[in-house]
Amino acid sequence: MTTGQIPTILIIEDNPNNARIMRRVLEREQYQILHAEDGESGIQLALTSAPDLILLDLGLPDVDGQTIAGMLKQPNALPDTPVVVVTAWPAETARQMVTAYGCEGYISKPINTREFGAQVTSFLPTSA
Amino acid sequence: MQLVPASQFTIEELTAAYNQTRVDYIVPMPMTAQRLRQYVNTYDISLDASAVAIDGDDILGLCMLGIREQRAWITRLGVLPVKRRHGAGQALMEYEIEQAVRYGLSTIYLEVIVGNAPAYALFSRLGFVEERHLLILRRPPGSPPEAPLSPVEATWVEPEETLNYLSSRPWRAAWTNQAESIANAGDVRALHLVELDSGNAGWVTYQQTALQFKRVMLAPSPGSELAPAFSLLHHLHSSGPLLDTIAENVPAEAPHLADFYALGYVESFARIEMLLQLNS
Repeated sequence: MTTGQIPTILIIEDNPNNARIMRRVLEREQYQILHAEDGESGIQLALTSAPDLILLDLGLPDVDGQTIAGMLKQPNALPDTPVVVVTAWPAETARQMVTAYGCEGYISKPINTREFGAQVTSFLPTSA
Repeated sequence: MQLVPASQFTIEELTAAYNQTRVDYIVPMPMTAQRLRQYVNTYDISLDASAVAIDGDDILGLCMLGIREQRAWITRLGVLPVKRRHGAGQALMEYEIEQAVRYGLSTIYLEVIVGNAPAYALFSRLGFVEERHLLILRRPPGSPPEAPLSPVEATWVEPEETLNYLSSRPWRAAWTNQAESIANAGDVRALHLVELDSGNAGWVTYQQTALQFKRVMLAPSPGSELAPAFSLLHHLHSSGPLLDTIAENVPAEAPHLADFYALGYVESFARIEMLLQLNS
């Protein structure tokens, strides 16, 4: 991501309400938002659009979030793109999964709409 | 509220209802209609014996019953979040227990995620007792660690022969891992190893997709007290280092659990398996 470009964030989330809330908060932060509602389309969109950050739900109906993270973090995929898990899993379990799968962090559900924008921003790579 | 057989609904309707009942679950695990259809087939779910709780045209919740010989399995119990605490969950469970009695079955198994206190309390009230803890293990992609391995005799086994190994497990498999499940799932292969130094012999099953190893189960061969678990898993993951892996319902007391962790597996969550003996 270079200075002056609007960061693009990909949301991979099957729950339309959750996705809508995240999109609304992040668009207020002036981010460009892409959304995939299942794992397979999320993988495709990630690989074709090369977003600056990926917000990843763990509980997707077709391919779960851990499998997606494992795939995206491979050297021939998007190893340097921050992947942030957004999950209702207990904190300790979320932390273990994040560490095991090489993700950059997690944000707990339900999200706090006042804090969510800043939380996501903290995971974005700093400008070059 | 009425309880009606799940067979009166399409798979798509059941899928939509199921997903809505689980939106706030500890581990949501939503499904597509295709996955629910596969689930019903793989785990011998009787949709005639499974139930949906309705109020007029509205679905309040559902519950499914698997049937194998004299055994039953209650699964996918869920009630819409806004409709809980009105007895729907208990009514669904009592219905399924009655179904199991009607079918002349002798035992009912179920699993409840550790931490789901309301469900655990309900099942306990209905007479279910704890049998054991089962672990859901995940392994991210990656080559297994460098390690000295004993020389082995390895045999990669085709799906049609995999079933021959499953009857030799020294412990009772969870419903999802029983021979019937593996036969129904199809395309589950195995690796059989004999460690030449120790004589330990065993096997690991796996189903390979584009992204994942699934149905990973491991056990010693007949006559071998211990499975060469580290070698088995090392060989498996060396054959597919770019694949994510899930090993579902590994008994928490399994003697080779440490080998799973040594090969990079982590615990995702745990279930408590519970049992109700029926007087039939």
